[in-house]
Amino acid sequence: MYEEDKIRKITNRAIIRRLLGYLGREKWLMAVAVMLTVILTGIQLSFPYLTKIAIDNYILSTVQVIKPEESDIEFINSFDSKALTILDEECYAIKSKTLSLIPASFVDKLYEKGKLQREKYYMFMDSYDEALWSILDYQSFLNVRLVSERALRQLNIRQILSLRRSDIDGIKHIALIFLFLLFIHLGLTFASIFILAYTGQMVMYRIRKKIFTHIQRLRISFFDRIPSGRLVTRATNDAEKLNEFFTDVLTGFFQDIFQCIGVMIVMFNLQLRLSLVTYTVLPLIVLAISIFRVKVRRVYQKVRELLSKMNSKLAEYLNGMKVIQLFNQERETSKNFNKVNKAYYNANMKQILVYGVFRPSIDLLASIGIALVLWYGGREVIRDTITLGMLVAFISYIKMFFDPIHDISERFNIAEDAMAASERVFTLLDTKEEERNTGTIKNVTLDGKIEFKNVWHRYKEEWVLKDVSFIVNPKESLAIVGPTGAGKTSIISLIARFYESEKGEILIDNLPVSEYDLNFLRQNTGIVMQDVFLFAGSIKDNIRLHNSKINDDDIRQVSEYVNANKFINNLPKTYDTNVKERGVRFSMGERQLLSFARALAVNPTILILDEATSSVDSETESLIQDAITKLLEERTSIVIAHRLSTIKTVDRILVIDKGKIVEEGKHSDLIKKKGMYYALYKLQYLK
Amino acid sequence: MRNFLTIKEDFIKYKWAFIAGFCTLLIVDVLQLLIPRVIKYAVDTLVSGDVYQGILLRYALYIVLIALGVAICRFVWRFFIFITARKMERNLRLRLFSHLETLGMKFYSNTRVGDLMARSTNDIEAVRRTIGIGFLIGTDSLVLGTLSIVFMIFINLKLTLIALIPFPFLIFFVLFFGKLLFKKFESVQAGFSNLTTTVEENVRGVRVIRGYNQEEGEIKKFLKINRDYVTRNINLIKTWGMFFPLIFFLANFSIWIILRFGGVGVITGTISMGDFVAFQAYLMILVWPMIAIGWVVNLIQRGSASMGRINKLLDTQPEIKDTGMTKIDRIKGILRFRKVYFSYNEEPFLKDININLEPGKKLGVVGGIGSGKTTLVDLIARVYDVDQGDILIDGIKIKDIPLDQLRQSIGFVPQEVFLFSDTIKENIRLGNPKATDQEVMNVIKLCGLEEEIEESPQGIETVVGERGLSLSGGQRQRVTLARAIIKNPSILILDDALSSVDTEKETQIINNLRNFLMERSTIIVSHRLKSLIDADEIIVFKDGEIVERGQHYELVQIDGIYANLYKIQQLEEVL
Repeated sequence: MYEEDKIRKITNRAIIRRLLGYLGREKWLMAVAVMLTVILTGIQLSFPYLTKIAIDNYILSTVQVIKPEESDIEFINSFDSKALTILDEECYAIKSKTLSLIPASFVDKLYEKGKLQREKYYMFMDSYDEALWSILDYQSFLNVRLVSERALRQLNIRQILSLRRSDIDGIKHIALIFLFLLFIHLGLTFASIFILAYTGQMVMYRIRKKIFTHIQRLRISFFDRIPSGRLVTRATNDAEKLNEFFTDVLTGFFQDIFQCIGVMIVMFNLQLRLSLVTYTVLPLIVLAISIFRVKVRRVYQKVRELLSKMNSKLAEYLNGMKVIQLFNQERETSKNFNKVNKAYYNANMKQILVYGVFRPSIDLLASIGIALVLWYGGREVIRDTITLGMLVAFISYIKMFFDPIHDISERFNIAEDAMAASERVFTLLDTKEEERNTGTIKNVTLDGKIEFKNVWHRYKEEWVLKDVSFIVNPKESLAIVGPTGAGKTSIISLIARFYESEKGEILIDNLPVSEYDLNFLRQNTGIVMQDVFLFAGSIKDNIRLHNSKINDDDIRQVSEYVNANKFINNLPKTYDTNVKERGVRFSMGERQLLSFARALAVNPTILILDEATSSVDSETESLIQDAITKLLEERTSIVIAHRLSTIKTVDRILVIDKGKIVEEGKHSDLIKKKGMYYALYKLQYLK
Repeated sequence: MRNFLTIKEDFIKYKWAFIAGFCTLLIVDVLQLLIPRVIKYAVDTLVSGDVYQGILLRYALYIVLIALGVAICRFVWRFFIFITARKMERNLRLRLFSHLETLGMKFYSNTRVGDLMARSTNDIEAVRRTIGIGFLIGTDSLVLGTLSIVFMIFINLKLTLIALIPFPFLIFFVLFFGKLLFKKFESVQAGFSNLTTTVEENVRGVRVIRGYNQEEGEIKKFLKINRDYVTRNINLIKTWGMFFPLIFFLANFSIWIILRFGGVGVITGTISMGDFVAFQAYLMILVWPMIAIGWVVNLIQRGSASMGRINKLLDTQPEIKDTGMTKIDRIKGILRFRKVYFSYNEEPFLKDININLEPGKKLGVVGGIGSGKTTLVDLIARVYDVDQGDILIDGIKIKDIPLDQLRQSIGFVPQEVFLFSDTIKENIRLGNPKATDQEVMNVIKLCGLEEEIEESPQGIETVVGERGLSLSGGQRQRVTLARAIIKNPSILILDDALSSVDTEKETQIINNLRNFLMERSTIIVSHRLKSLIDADEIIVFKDGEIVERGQHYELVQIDGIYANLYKIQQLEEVL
C-alpha cells in the first residue's frame, strides 16, 4: 500500500479538496493573490491598448475632408461628438480613427457618394510660426490648416517637432501612464509571487507537521513493516512536490486562464469581427491540446516508470556487485542494464517527439493567427473599419494569448506529479495504525510489580510467546536467559507496550498495562536496548534527550553513578562532545554505559535491560558489571542476561526456550535442579 | 569545460547530428526574425495607402510560410540535438556502469551505493542537460540576440541604442541574481537535508523515542527545523520573487522607450510606422536570450561539475588487475596458501596463512566474528589481492590465471545471500548461463529445494527478490548454493552458507552432495561444527591468525577454542 508506482486511487477532485483544506488562515492570502492576478492581467492587457492609443490618437492623428449632410453630422456625432471640425461652410474635417467607430456600410456609402475624401491630412490650428508655413504646402481653412503627410516630410525634424507639439505631448502622456502601470505591475507581481510562495510554504509546514506528528503516533509494528526511507520520503520529498500544487499548478492555471480569457474578452470588445476571424484557429488549438494531453501523460508516465525501473536495477546490481564478479557476469549484467537504459532512452525519444510536434504546432498556430489578423485586419484598415493601432494591438494580443498555451504541457506534468505525491501523503495520514492510548491511570506512585498472566504473542503467523506467566515483585530483579529466538526480547517489548499481546494479560501493580496512560507507563519503565541508538547531538543531549527537567548536574551524577564519566571526560569536549563528530567513535561498551546513564536519568520504577552480547575489553567489562549491579538495586528490573555476573546479581532467573518458560528460580536452586540452566552454566555458556 | 573531454568520442561520433542541429537552429533564428520584418512591410503598406489587390494576402502567406519553416526546422532541431543528447546520456550511463563492474570490493566498501546512484542518475542528467539544452540554447540565444540587434540597427541605430539601455541592467540582474539565488538555494538545500536527517533519525530511533516518551520533544525539535526550513525558503523567495518581475519590468521598459522615443520618431519621420511595430517585436524576441544566458551559464557550470564527478569515477583504476596469461585446460583445484599476509588498511588483518588443499578433500574454517574467515575465502577468488605471499591453484599463482577462468573454477557461496529480482531459474543459471531446465532441476534436487519449488505456482519461473516472492533465509541460501554448484567448479567455497538451513536439511544436502564433492576441493566456513566433523583439516582463526589446526578429534583433544565451541553446540542441540 506504500508502493511508489502504484495506480492512483483517489480522484483528483478529492485530493484538491483536501489540499485546499490545508490553506488555513492563508486562504484569505490566497484570495488576495488571485485578486492580484486579475489586476495584473488587467495591467498587462492595457499595454498593447496604450500603444494603440498612441498610434491612433497621436502618431497617426490624421483627418479627412468630409462634406456631410445634416443627418450625417448627427449620425457621426452620436459616435463621437468631437469627431468633426468645421473647415468652411460645407466641409468638415473628420478624425480618421473615428471612422472605425462608425458602421462600415455608412463609411462605404460616404466614400461612394464622394462625400468623404480618401486623402489624409494633419490638421493644425492657425497659431503657428508663420515662417514655417511659408515653406509648406497647406490648405487653409477657417481656423485650421491641413497638411498632407508628403508635405510634412519636407520639413526638418525640429520643424516637425514644433508643429506637432500637441501629438508629441500626447505620446509623452501615454508613455507616462505606461511607465506608471509598469511600476505598479512590478510591485504587484512581486507581492503576488511572494504571497503565493508564502502560502505554499505554510501549507507545506502544516502538512509536514501533520505527517511527522502522525508518525509519532504509529504503532511499532508499522515501522517493522515499512522501510524507513519511505516514511522519510513522505515527510520530505512528497511534501515538497505537493507544494508545487499551490505555487505552480493552482496559481499557474489561474494566471494562464485569466490571461487567455482576458485577452479574448478584450479582443472581442475591441473588434468583434476581427476577433472572430482570428479565433477560427481556436478549435485547432483545443484539438492540439486535447490530443497532446493524452499523449504527453502516457509518455510521461512511461518515462517515469522506466526511470524508476532503471534506478532499482542499478541499485540491485551495485549491491550485488560481488556476486556479479564472482560469477563472471559482468558482460551479461551490462547487457541487462543496457536493456533498461535503452528502454528509458526510447521512452525519452517518444517524449521528445511528442513535445517536438506540440510546441512548434502551437507556434505555427500563433503565426497563423497573426497572418489572419494581418490579412483580414489589413483589409479592414483600408476600408477604415479598424484603425492601424487596433491592428498592431491585435498582433500583441495574439502573442499574449499563445504564451500560456505554450507552457501548458509542463503544467500537466507538474500537476500529475503533485497529485501523485499528495495521494501518497494522504494514504500515510489515513493509516489507522496508531498506538492505542486509552488508559487513564497516571500520576500515581507505582510499586513496580509486574505480572504476566498466560500471555500469547506473535508478530506474524507463528507464536513467539506461548502461554507465558510469571511475577516480578516490587524491587525484585529477574534475569531472562535462553537461546536466540526464544522470545526474550518479545517479553520486554510487551511490558513497554511496543506491541500488544494477543492473548492473556500483563499487569503492573495488579492492573492491566492497557489501563495506564501510555506516557505514564513508559515514564516509569526505563528501557536499555541491546544496540544503543545515538541521536545527533552532544553526549549531554543523548543522556537528557528532550527532558528539560534533567539539568547538567543530574547528567554528571548519573554518568558517574554508571561509570560513564571516565570515558566521557576523556572526550575532546567532555559532555558537550558531538557524538556524530568526525573521529569520535564509541565502543559497544561505551555506548552501553551511555544508555545506562540515559535510563537512570529518568529514575524509572521499572528497569528493563537487554544486555549486549558482544564482548568488550576487560576494563570496560568490569565498569559495566559494576554499573549493572547498581542499576538493579532499588527498582524492579528485568534483564535479558548474557553475563554470568549479572545473573548472579539478580534475585531470580527465568529460563525460556521456544516461547515457553522452562525453568524458574534462584541461581542456587536452578544449579541444584541440574536441568537446562545447570547445563548452560556448567558449559560457561554464560561467560 | 575540459571535463567534457571524456566524452569527446561521442561528440565526434555524433558530429553530423550536431552540425545539422546547429544549422537548422540558425535557420530557425533567421526565419523567426523575418516575421517582424514582414509585419513591418505590411504596416508600412497600410500607412502609405498604396494597397493593391492581393498584397495583404501575400504578406499573410509569407508569415504562414515562414512560420511553417520555423515549425519544421524547430522539430528537426529538437530531434537532432535532444535525441543526440539522450544518446550520449545513454552511452555515458552504460560506460559508467561497465566501469563500475570492473572495480573491486575495496572500492565498494569505501563507497556508498547511494553516491554511485547519484552519479549515474542526477549527474548524468546534468551532463545531458548541458549537452542538449546548455550548449544549444547557449548558441541559440547568442545568435538570436546578436541577429535581432543587427536587425534593429538596420532599422535605426540611435533608437536601437536607446532601446537597449535596459539590457545591460538585465544581464547584470540575471548574473547577479543567479549568484545570489545559488547561495540562497544552497541554504534551502541544507535546510532540506536537515529536515531529512531529522525525520530519518526519528524513524530509526523510534524505540528509544517511544520508550522514553520523547514524542513531544521530537515534535518540538522537528517543528523548529520545519520552521527553519520555511524561513530559508521564504528568504529564497524574497530574491526569487524579484527575478521574473524585474525581467518583465526591464523588458517592458524597452518597449516603453520605443513607445516614447520611437513614437516621436515616427512623427518626425525618422522611422516608419512599420519600423515602430517591428522594433517592439524584436525587443520581445531579445528578452529571451538575455534570460537564457544567465541560466545557461549556470547550467553549464553545474554540468561541468557533474562531469567532473563522473570522471573521477571513470578514472578510478580497478584494484584487481586481470593480468593472468596462463590458460589452463581444466583447473583441478589444488589450492595452496604460502605465507599469505593481507590488510584492509594499515594493520595486518591476516597473518602468515599457510594452507594445502587437494581435490576431494575438505577444509573447515572456524573462528569468531571478524577473525578473518571470510577474508580468507575472498582472497581465493581474488575479491581482494594478497599483500605478501602467494596463493596458488594447480601450482600457478592465481594472479597469473585469467580472472574469468579463475572465478569460473570457483563455486562461491558468500555469507550475504544476494538474489537478483528475477526468476529462480535465472538466479541459478547465473552460475552457468547455458544450463538447461533439466540441469537446473538437478541442482535444485541436490540442494533440497525440490519440494518448495514444486509448491510454488510458477515453479522455477517464480520471480524472487524485492518485487517477487519473498523466500525464507534458508531457501535463499539454498538457491545461492545451487547457483554455485551448477557452475561445476573445481573449488567449492561455502562461507557460512547454510546457517539458516535447519540441521536436518543440512545433513540431507551434505549427503546429496557427497558424490559431487568427491573430485573437488571444498572449503567450508561454518559456525556449526557438526558439519565439519568429517573435514580433512579444520583451521581455527583468531585475530587473523590460524591458532589451531587439525582434524576434528585432534582439536577436541587439544581442549582449546575449538573444543570449547564444540561443547557449547552439543548442549544447544540438547536444548
